[in-house]
Amino acid sequence: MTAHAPTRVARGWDYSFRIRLRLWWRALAELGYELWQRPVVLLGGIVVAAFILAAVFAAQITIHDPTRGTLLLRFEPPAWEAEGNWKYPLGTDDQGRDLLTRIIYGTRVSLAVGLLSVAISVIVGTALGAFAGYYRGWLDEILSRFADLLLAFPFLIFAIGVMAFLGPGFVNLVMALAFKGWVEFFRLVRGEVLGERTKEYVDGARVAGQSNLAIIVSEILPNVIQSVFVLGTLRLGYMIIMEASLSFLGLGIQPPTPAWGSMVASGRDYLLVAWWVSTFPGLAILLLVVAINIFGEGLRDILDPRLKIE
Amino acid sequence: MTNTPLLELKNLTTVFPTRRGLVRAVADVSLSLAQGELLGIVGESGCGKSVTMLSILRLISTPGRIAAGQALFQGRDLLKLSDGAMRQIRGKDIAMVFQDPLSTLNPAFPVGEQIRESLRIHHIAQNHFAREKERVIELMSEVGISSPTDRFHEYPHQFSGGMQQRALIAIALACEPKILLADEPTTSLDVTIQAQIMDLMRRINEARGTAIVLVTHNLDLAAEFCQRIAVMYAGRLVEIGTTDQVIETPQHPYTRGLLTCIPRISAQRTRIEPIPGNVPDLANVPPGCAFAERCSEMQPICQNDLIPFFEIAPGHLVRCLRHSSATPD
Repeated sequence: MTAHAPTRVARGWDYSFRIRLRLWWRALAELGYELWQRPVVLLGGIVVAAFILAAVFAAQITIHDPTRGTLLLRFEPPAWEAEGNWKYPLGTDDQGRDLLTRIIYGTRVSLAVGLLSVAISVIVGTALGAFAGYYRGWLDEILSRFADLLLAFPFLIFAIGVMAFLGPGFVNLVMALAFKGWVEFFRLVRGEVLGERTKEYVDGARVAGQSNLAIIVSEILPNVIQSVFVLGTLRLGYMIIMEASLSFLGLGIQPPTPAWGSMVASGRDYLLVAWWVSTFPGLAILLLVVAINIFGEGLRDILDPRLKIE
Repeated sequence: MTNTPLLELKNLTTVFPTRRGLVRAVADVSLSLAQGELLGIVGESGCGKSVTMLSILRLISTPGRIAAGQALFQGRDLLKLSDGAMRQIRGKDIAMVFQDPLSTLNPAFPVGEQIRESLRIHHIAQNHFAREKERVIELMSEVGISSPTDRFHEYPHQFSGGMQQRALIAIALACEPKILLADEPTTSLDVTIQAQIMDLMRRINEARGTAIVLVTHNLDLAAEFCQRIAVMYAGRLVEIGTTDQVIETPQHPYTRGLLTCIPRISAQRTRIEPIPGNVPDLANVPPGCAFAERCSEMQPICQNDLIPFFEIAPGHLVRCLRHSSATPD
């Protein structure tokens, strides 16, 4: 190979993929730098990442069974208390199960329900919002009125009603949360698309011969998706609280599957003799939701160029 | 080939229903554009010149609609094509450049990608990325964007106004259209850049034989650039002819009025003569000549009936009774 003849085989897909990869990498590096400038946001991100890792590797990092306990060992206090035992760092519950193990397994439920319900809300809300905002007309009219109707109900009461109707269970819980959750994304995307559709680049795309569907998907949505992403992270924390509330009320995930909400509920009767049974799952909810919100708001500040200028 | 025009508008009428009544934004416009011709459409804001362009591409948004007429492109009536067939023509055979380049470029994508997009839509270069990119870089250097390989990945806001307009022209040229509709392409640019862009468009016309329709309110610019000029007023064509005919011997009082409102730098300072009065309400255009109320040479007859076109010289048409060889037939 001579020095002046680089034999770069520019096969179409391969080449474009490499460029895409480089652009992604550059964007990621920039995000990393911005995060480094904001230690609190970074800390929030680390806490969220730790919870995710705990959820994924729950079976590997725990030694106790999350669902079966030894009744003889019920209400063991946390390790630092007088009668504590480092075998059960956060103590045991009313059935003698290790609390830490159950909290770690409970992360799975919280994150899975939260992520799934937000993902469904994002997909449904964004798709409907984009079509309603772009085409207007009767489609927009019907969807918007339906969204208004759903917004008239308080979320928790609505979810309680739906869960009472569907019956408890993982799938039903996700459905109940997503059934109202999409409205937020619908309204956000519809509003943004209404603003974008009158911009000249849309006319430009039309002049270039693009179809309406292509304009929505490949021209308008990339301009809107950032706010959807930010709202998604902020709604995630809220969905986790909703899941915990429903499980607390006995309408969500059923025992013995460990879920933070039902763990708080089961410890409520023993609060005076064994405060830790309710307290630690409650703290886990608090920690995860606060970390998600801090991280989400930090992401919003970083990604939203309008806020950056100030 | 010279006999059949590339594009021919016949009695094109575009209306917008409003609360005050039906607005005839384009009323009975007939025009023809020959292969490789440079045609200017001149008129003040709201006279229907942009709507005429959008009507040709059938991009009038509801509730507006094209009420009557034909737009024959190479003998085919564009107004009768299916939506799919129309999309094939947009961008490929007839392309358009808009006034405000920054808002016409999508802020979310690199400029090079957006030029590539127009190649992709019409399957030029077989959707082969390397070939497409090569073509985009050729186009970018053709329209005078320096170091196109580096600027391929830059975003619209990183371009200056002139460069943005060049990028838009590159997008319009990507599929080698036969007609380029330029809707006030230089209005948002400063004068030196304006000259460069007009120069670029003239070179494109010479090199590729692309017919260009320049829509502008600047009669001077049109006079410098175009071979023929059409003057519009209140949705109607009022005068059309070669540039020399229209500029040297303007027949319609409105054209003359436009010519006297152009500020000139000369030793002798002269006041600019504004045309008195206002444009009529387009929902309620008087039956006769729309300009009659503002015209200094108005006769009672002007307000009664629609004035027909008079051909006062070969190819020079005017809708006025007071043209120099005043013998209405």
